Amino acid sequence: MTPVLPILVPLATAIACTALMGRRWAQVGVSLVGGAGTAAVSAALLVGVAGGGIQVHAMGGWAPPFGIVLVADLLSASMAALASAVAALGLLYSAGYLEAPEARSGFHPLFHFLLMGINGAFLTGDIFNLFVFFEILLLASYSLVAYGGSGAQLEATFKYATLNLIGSAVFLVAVGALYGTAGTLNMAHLPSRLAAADSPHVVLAILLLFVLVFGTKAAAFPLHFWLPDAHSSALTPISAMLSGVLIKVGAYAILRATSLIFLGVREMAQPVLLTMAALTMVVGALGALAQRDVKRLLAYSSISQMGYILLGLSLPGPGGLPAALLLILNHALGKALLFLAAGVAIHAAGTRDMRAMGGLRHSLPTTSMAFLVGVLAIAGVPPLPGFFGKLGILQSALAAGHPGLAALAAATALATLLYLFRAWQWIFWGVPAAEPAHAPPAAMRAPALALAAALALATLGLGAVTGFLNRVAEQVAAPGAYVARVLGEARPAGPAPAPAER
Amino acid sequence: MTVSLALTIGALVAAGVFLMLRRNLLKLVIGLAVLSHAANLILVGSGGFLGQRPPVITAGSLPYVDPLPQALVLTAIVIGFGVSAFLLVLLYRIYRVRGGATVTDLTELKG
Repeated sequence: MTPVLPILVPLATAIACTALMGRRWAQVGVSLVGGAGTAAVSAALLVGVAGGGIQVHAMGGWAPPFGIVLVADLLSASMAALASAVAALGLLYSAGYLEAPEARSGFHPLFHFLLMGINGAFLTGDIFNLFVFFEILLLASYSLVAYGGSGAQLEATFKYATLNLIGSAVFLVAVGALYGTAGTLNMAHLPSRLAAADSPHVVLAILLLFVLVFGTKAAAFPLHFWLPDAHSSALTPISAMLSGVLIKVGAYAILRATSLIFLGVREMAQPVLLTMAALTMVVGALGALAQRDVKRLLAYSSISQMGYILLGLSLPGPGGLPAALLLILNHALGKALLFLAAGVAIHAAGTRDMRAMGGLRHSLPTTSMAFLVGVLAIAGVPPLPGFFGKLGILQSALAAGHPGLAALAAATALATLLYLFRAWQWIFWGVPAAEPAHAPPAAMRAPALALAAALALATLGLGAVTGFLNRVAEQVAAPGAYVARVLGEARPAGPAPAPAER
Repeated sequence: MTVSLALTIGALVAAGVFLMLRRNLLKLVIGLAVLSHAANLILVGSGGFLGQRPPVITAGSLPYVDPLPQALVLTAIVIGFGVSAFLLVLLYRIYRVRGGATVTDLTELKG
């Protein structure tokens, strides 16, 4: 199983879906098969990497560090597997969710292009290739947020696109500065070249440029302003995909930058990263407390949870990273579940105002339970994985000598508990406001249940999950194996041109 | 060469930021395009101007210009072109739905 397939399968599906535009059920069928196929090849890649070590594919046969490589280590393979699994459920949901005129045009092709960009961003081993995959996933996500064409969706897309276009320009500047300093863009080749750079402060400046770019994608404070608009205006399966998976690409890229490429100046950037993470956590929770619209509440909650994840990634010491990875898993499943279940409730009640809903536990008993599982997971109630993730982050903040950060994390956890339980109460308890407007189809209710089952499985098998994530964290913490595997790749036959070494 | 390139980049960034601060959203889009061209020029400059000859390797062709930044910029220009086209279409749709295309037409969502 090569790292190419999780990128190639969505690309092929997107092209096939484009050819089938106008033939609704044929397109939906191909799209669902393609989504399941992507999830299958990504899972197979993860199994292969877990059993057989890091896999490297030199694109076009050009040997690294001169050609572009795809690298599947435990981190990138498990991120791609998680993204593909959530995407497959999102596709199933949209098969039941989209009304006929919306289903007829470009939704499914765009969804698969988005998935292709996400998997590519996880699997690439080249900084400029990361830029290209970022642009692919961004362009697909702009179109998907605008999908539906209402004024709010167009407005949200314009804000989202403007901020991320500035981010893209900064990305290019950072790539230029990096290439000018190191003379290479290969992620495995960069650490040694940057260590030989004249001044660590130049390298630090480049890292901070990259943090700015990736922070925009990860909705880190103060770059988070696009997220509540975009994630709440988009169609529900897109919100689930954006909040569940897409913002993790930013966190992943920050982790790659600080744990591999810029490892030498990580210490110097730590105050910036920790401050950013803490403010993200607090500002997101405060925003969520003020919301009445269920999707906006979930969007602000995503910002807050990203703060936890970024905090775990940036804390020194061995405990932060596995806790952050556990939270990434927990949030990807839990927030996708909450968005999909909220979408079912919105569909049934015909409104997004939580106070106008009420009493939906009678008409939607299973969705109500699934939503509760998501609430418990994101709020971090034991014994769900979210609790152990947040506990790990609290412990490593204390161990690293940051009691203030630990206190902030604990206070944010309480706020999370408050706003999520209040949302569940408003939506599902109380007196039914009115007869349900629509009965949601089974294809809409099933994905939320599947995600709840996945969370329950992760809870039951928590020992195995944390054991695996510890392995991932160990591999990330020791990047020597990654570098050796990529640069030690056998040179392909045939003449290789001399590089323009500077 | 380096000085004139730096001055050009500075002028482009200044023009781009100035345009992005206008009320008119079309000017914002143009400003974004100008800004991305400034970034492209920085990328060209990152290759340095050590060589003058084309990077076709024959005897005595050294020093040749570094071809990689040029390939990167070509990719970035194509991507920027696609994104600009999308943004213009989006702006046109906003104009049709809201009846105007200034920043005050984008006040339904409060961040």
